[in-house]
Amino acid sequence: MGLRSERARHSGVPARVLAVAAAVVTVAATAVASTPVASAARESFTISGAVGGLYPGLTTLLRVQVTNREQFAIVVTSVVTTVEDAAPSCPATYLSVAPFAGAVRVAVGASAPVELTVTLRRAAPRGCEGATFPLLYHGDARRA
Amino acid sequence: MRIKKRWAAAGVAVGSLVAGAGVAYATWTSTGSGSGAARALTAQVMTVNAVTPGAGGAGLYPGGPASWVYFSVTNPNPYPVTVTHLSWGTPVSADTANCPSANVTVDANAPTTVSLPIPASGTSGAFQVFGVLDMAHSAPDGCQGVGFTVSLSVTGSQT
Amino acid sequence: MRPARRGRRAIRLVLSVVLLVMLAADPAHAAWSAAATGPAAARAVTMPTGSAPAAFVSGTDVTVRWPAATMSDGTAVEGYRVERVDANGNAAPVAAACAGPITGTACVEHGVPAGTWRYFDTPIEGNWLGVRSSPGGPVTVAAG
Repeated sequence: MGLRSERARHSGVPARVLAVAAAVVTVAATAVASTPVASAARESFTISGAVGGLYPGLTTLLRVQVTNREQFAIVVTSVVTTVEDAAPSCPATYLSVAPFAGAVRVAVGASAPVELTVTLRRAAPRGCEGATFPLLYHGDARRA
Repeated sequence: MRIKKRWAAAGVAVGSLVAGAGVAYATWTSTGSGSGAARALTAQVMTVNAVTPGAGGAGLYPGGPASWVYFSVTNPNPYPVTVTHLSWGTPVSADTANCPSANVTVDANAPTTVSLPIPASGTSGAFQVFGVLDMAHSAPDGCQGVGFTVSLSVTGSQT
Repeated sequence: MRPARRGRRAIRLVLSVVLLVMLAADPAHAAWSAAATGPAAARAVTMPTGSAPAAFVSGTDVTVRWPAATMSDGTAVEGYRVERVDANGNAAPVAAACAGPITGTACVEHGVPAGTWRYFDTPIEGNWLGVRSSPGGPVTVAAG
């Protein structure tokens, strides 16, 4: 009995039209929602940090700060560092910075540290005395 | 029949929306970047310190064999160093009135090649290097027991 | 691989080996430098003390003998000065052959006047005078 009255009320919109509309909405929603945000121009977080006092054979920790730029918490899963030549007489090959792989949660508007192992190789020549290696950081994150 | 189809279609639509949203949540990733620096320290200059001998460490006398000197090295760098080369200056008397400096000279065969270990961030023990200084046979009696220093430049490298 | 390509590859290989050898060679020069300047210290010795001499009279000849003195490194001193004093402690001029610096550890003084005498010896090294010995036992030269 209830069904019959419902049927009388919605009899203006055919079921076929409803189904097609629902399907279109679903496809559209899925398409929008699953597009990776990485293709957006703005980055979700910044990475900064420096270390000093290096000498040949020293392995020490380089602590970088990851700052969350999103409106929600994120989890940083990787940080990879590219080392550039400090000087013509001190090429990048003498410095190694280990990649980070893990899960560091960063709250909204906050920073969190990530520690990278850095080594100035024992064979680093005199041209490296007092030299500075520029570092470029790149990382990945997911939503917390 | 039609009622069931309608509800089925609506159910599928809602279910797809929910599923679609769930899939979108799991695949959200992003990137971040920045720059920094890794600085190597500049090797700091070390110092040579005179180690003044007591009477038991005295060795110079007129016309005697080339005598020894004592010194230590302070290394402020955080890595150990090996000193490999010595370069001698001019000896100076501690009592020029009674024993002029010219009475003592650096021996022609004074050692210049050595291998002396210096610890990181610290001062070595005293080194005794033999065969460095000669006292002239004509040195006056006032030279007895007089102390001398001789400037020493050392070079080496990280051990 | 075409011959030209093979040739270029060979040249690259040789160059890399040469470069590797150059880099590996003389690691001492590649190690970080360290330098220092400062004083080293030395000290002159002091002269030894003579040992009391023994004297033997034969007429007016007195033979004086004493134990050798050594420098701090164990080498015998170059010479000695011999002194003679009378019973009152007054010094008398020493005649040949005990006058002047004496090399060796004995000398004979000729023509010693009658009286009772004591001898001393003092080590000598160049212009350096050591500490005079204790007096040797008294000897008497008979009158006539």
